[in-house]
This record gives sequence, structure tokens and C-alpha cells, in this order.
Amino acid sequence: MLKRGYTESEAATTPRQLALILVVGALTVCALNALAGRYLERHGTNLAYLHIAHKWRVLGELKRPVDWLLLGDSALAQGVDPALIEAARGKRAVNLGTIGNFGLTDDLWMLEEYIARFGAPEAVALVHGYDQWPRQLDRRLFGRIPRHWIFGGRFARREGLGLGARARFLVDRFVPLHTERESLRRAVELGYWRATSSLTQFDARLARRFVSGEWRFFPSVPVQRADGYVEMCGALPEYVRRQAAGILRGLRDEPAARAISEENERAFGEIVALAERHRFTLHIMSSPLVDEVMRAPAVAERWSAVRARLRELAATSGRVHLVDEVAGFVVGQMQGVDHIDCEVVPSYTRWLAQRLAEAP
Amino acid sequence: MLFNSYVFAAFFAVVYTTYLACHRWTRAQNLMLLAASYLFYGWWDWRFLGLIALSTAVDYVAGLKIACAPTEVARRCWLWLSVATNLGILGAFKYLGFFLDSLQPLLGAIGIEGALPSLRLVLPVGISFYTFQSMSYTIDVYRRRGEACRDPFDFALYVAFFPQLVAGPIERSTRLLGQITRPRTLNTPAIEAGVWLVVWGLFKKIVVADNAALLANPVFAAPEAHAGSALLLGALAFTVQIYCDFSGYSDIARGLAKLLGFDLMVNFKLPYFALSPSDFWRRWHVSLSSWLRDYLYISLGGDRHGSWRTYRNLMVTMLLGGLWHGAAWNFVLWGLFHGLLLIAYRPLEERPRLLPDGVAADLARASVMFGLTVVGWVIFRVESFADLGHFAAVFLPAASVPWHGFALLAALWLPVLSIEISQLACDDLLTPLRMPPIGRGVLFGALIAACVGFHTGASTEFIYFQF
Repeated sequence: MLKRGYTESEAATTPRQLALILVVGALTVCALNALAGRYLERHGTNLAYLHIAHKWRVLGELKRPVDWLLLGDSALAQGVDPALIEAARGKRAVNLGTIGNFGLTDDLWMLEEYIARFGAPEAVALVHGYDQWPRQLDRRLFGRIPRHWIFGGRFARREGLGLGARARFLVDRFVPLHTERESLRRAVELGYWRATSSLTQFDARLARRFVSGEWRFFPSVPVQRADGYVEMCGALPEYVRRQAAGILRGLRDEPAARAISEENERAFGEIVALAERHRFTLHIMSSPLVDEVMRAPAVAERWSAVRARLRELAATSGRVHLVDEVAGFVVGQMQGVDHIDCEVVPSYTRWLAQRLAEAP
Repeated sequence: MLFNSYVFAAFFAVVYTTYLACHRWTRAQNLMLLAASYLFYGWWDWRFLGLIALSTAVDYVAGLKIACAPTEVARRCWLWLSVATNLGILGAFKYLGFFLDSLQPLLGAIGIEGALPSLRLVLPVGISFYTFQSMSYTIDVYRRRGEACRDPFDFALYVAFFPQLVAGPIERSTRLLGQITRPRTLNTPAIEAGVWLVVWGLFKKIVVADNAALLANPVFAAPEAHAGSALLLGALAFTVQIYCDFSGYSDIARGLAKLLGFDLMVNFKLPYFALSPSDFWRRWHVSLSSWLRDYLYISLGGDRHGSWRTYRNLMVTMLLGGLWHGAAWNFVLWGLFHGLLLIAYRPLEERPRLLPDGVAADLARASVMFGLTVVGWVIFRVESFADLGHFAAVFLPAASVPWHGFALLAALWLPVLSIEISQLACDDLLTPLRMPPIGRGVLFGALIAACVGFHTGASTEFIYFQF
């Protein structure tokens, strides 16, 4: 048998059969692409994409209005549990924290959608790290927002987007097999580890990789809740120390060009205008920070510059409440310099609820 | 412009549409293909278009002159002009720096220091392939096995035909020139076979080879840091990588050619099922091994002058075949290794009745040959002889067996192995096309989806481009 394998003969395929083969082939690609998208929507390994998809889904599935609308970054997403707020304060809240690279832009869009559906909430909290205010908006993330208006001409004009960028959004949205291939690889790897190792071994291995910086990955499978809270457990003190050292070095070497980026200033202005028009209080506070970073004079200086600029921008509004204080945690309670372990979520949630309740 | 890039997809879409639009005019199709081929080649570095044009011009003129030369001496002169030009270009760009670097220590040993300059010329992509292809034409005309081509544009297309320009198959004028000059017809079976070969080739390159490279590269980058099974994993991963990379390229090239109505030679015939070294070379890079056989081994006398001359001829052919792959001593050593294998197996192959027959015996022989092939690939891949020495540690126990690496490699290899077993069982390299149409559609779709979902990121070059 092994002496064979030298010949090649074409099949007697008719044009109709070839057409059928090509159509079935195309349908198979589409079906596998849709399956991949469906799977990655909930089990993907790109935390940023997961947060964005999850929070917009939570907003879309919201059945009734809330008292407090919490907007912000990933530190908020995994740091504040709305169920604890309701239990402690009797206030219904929803956590719509996505990721820092979106800045205040998607906060604004979420707020607009919320107000269009339910009217104004009692209060809105904007929770962002001191370092996110000066960041440029990452426009590539637009395609991750699961709303059809991102393809529209109105949105393109508002954001000054060209045809290429809009085409890219289409690929981002509808071809997850291509755009989320890294996530897909990780998901397959995750499946393999689950099948061959105990979850503890799996977690330990992932944590080790996370710490070694081989690839950024979370140490346990995140649990997404319907109120927007994402439970992420497992402190990574070694990684936090290294990250903190890097940040402090960066702060020393690279002075910030401006306190708040142009895009964030523009979005902030529009959010303040909404607060005025719909009469809700806008609370602005920092994400939690690891003590070492929080106590650094350069960090205090930057956070102070951000607040000063925010005061200037909101000078004419009486609805903006700035929280100066930053909640600090020790390295053993963190997954990153501004991402807390689920163990200390109750304490940060209490801290945040207290600040919201105390506001004038 | 790589086959596994979006730029090439756009390029081929435009070329194919134009080609189909010109289906009534073979001449127009050929001129368009020639322009496309030069654009394809110039995309890497337009400066090297001059080299391919020079090689083409010299061989075109030499072919005509050989055909109409009045004397044998004149015919031979024109042949030598062609061979010297082609080998001169190849030697200057590919081997000169290597030989100067190798001579330097020898001269130093006899007290002549710094006598030779150190040359670092950029190696034009695919130079070894198109040089051999072009050279085979003049040799065939000289041997009266093929006719001289009268049309310079048809001949230029023969040398530069873009599907096989940079990494083969190395075609013969007796096969390809006739297809260029005659009107071509496109039929459904050929189109389907073309689509299959392109999809299967892309799968082997993008999914299997590029992912296997992720396992092989760290091991070969620092073999001294690995031992035992980790080295074995690296060696096996490279064995999978180089096969899927090169045969993937050949399949894509043949598939594209079929879509254009051309039939290129089969370059890989399930080489890892080979039973012996000579069987391996009948299956691996067939267009090169048959070129070396026809134009070098037979020219040296082949097996016509007794055992020792045969062994010498085998060794010379394999050493030069090794050197063809690259200007480095490990390629020479790889050629030497395969030459020794051919010589060692030859007595057995001359007396086939001494060998046991049957599937079990064949499997055992194929396993031994596969093991030897892996050893050969380690020699081929290492960056220095010191690294090769480190691979001796493959026999030492490792601190831990990289089971997960082996599992990943098995997962990558399994689809290829499954298809190849079916090809072997049915004795047909296009066996997957015997499935019902819906099954074929699902298979095509699944392979394309895997290419989209499991590519490693940026388009990576094919290994054989560097040769």
C-alpha cells in the first residue's frame, strides 16, 4: 500500500456540482464564523472585547430604569457590585464600565442610549483612572460596539470616520473568525486545558503566564452578571509589583502632555450638558489604585491636574461632583495596579456608594 | 507578494478576471500573464527584474542559436554561454560571499590575512528556481529533446510564470512551453482541482506550517537550552513545518496554474511515506530531484559505470543538491547525509527480494526512513555545527516532557495525515474530490475557516523563498 501515492486524477465534476460545492463551502465558512462569534461573545479570552460586548448587552437588556448609572473603565467593571449597593443603600444600580482606551466616549454613548430609553437616572458616576483622562481614544474599538448605528453616515460624520474605517467596523463585527482569531486560539487552548488538567492546575498555569507577562490573561474565568458586574478572582501580587514599578518609572520619564485628551474633553462637555438638561448629578471619581502607586507624588500631581481641568470645564455647572480621594489597596488585594481582586469588591463598592450618597 | 496575503488575493482576482475576459486571444492572455508575472516579481524588489530579464534574454538567444547552429562546436559554445551566464548569476548572488567567507580561514592558516573582501549581496527571491528552469530549456534544446522557442514573449512567460516563479515547481520547457503557445481551455474538473489545491495548500501553510513553526523556532533558536523530548519536539515540529510550508506553496502554485488552464508537475507525492532514500527523492521536491537526476546525475554517468562511479555520482549530485538549497555548510552536510543514505540503501534496493514484503514491513521501513528524514531536517535547520552538537542531547532525559507541545503538533498534523492516508489508500492525490459534492463543499469551507481563524498573524514567508 505504501508504494502508492504517485497519481492524480481529476473528478468528473459538472458545472452545477461545482456551483453547489462553492455555495456549500461559502455557507460552511459563514456558519463557522457565526458559531465562533456566538462562542466568543461569552467565552472569548480578550477581556477588553468581552467587557464591551457584555456592557452593551446589559444596557440593551435593561428592563427598567436604575437609580445610579455607573460608567467607566475595566477597573469599575470588576470593582463594583451593584447588588451590594442595592442591599446596602436601597439604590438600584447598573455597572457599565468597559475599558480605559474608550475613555469617556462610550460612556457618553451609553448615557445617551440610556436616557433615550428610560430618561435620566438620579445620579451618574464616571469612574476612570488618573492615567486614562489624557489617553487618545482608540477608534479601532468602535467596531466592537454591538449597535448598528456605528455603520451609519451620521455616526461617521460625528466622529470624522472615512470609508476604510467603516469597512473595518464591518469586518470587526461580522467576521470574528478573522478579527478575534487570537481570542479563538486562546479559547481552544482553554478548552484543551480544561479537558486535560484540573481547573486549579489550569488557573495556576494561567496565573504564572500572566505574571511572566508572556500573554495578558486573567487568572480565573470571569463571571459576567446581568447587572454588569464582572467577578474576577485571584490576586496577582507579583505582577502588580512589576506593573507598579513600570508605571512609576514611566511617570518619572514621560511627563503628560495634557491633563485630559481632546476627545475626553469633548465627551465630558457633552455629558455635563446632558446632566444640565436632564438634571442628574454627575460624580467623577478615580478607579482604585494599589497603595504604592496611589501614594506616589507624581500620581497625586496628575490626578490633581485632571481635577483642576475638570473644574475648569464644568465651571458653569452645579451638577458635577468631583471626588478627590482615591481608594487604595495593598498588592495582595489586586490583579493589576488598578484592578481589584473579587475579595475586596465589597469594600470598594461600599467606598464608592458612600461617596455617591454623601454628595451634595 | 506572498500567496498567503490579501495583496496577492486582490492581485490574482484582477489577473484572473482579465485573463478570463481575454479567453479568445491566447496571445493577449500570455502578454497579460507576462506583465502580471513581472509585476508579481517586481513587488519584492524591482531592481532584480533586470536579472530575470537577462537570464531570459540569454537563454532565448542561446536556444535559437543552438537550434540553428551549423556545427556541434557552435551548439556547444552557445550551450556553455547559457550555462555560464545562469550559473554566473547564481554564483555571484548566492555563493560568492559564502565561498569568500569559507576561503578566508584557509588563507589565514597559510599566513595570508585579509586577502579577500567580505561580500553581502541581497539574494534575489527565487533565483535558484528560475535559473534552473531557464537553464533546463537550453540543455533540452541542445539535447534535441525540445524545440527552440521563437516567440520571445512566450519564452519570457515560461521563465517568469508567476504561480511557480519564486519557489517552483521547476518546470521543463517540454511541458510548460507547449502549454503557453497552445490555446488553453478551462474545464470544470480542472477548476475544481485548482480550487482544492489552493485551499489545501493555504491550509497546510497558514494553519499547519506557521503554527508548527511556533513550536520549532524556540528550540532551534537555543538548542543548548533544551534537552531530550523538547529537542525531539522541535525536530518533529520542523519536519511538519518544512513539509507543509513547501508542499503548501507547491499546491497553491499548481492550483493557481490549473485555474489559468495550465498543468504544472506534481512536486510532492506523500514523501513522509517513503520507504527508502531513493523513494523519498522520488516523492520530495520532485521537480528539483528529477532536474538533478536528468541534468547532473545522468550527465556524470549515472549508474552506467559500476558501483563506485555510481556512488560518486550520487554523492556529487546530493552535495550539489544540498548546496542548491543555500550557501551554508549545513546544507552541504545535509546533502552529504542524504548522499550517504542513498549509497547505504543502494545494495538493498538492487536486491529487492532480500527485503520482506507486506504492509507491516512497509510500515517499518517507512518509519525508519521517516526517522532518518527527521535527522536530515535537523542538519538542514540548525544555524551552526555547535547547535547540531546540542541536538545530541535528544537522548538525554528531559526535566519534563512537553506533552502539550506534542499534543498541539499532533492536532496540527492529524488533518494532513488523514488526508494523506486517504490519498495513499485510493492511490490518488486528488482523493478528497471523490467525496459527494456537499461533503467537498463542507471540507473546502472548513479548511478556509481554519485558515481565517487560526493564522498566526502577519503573513509569513515561505521557507523555500530563501533558496
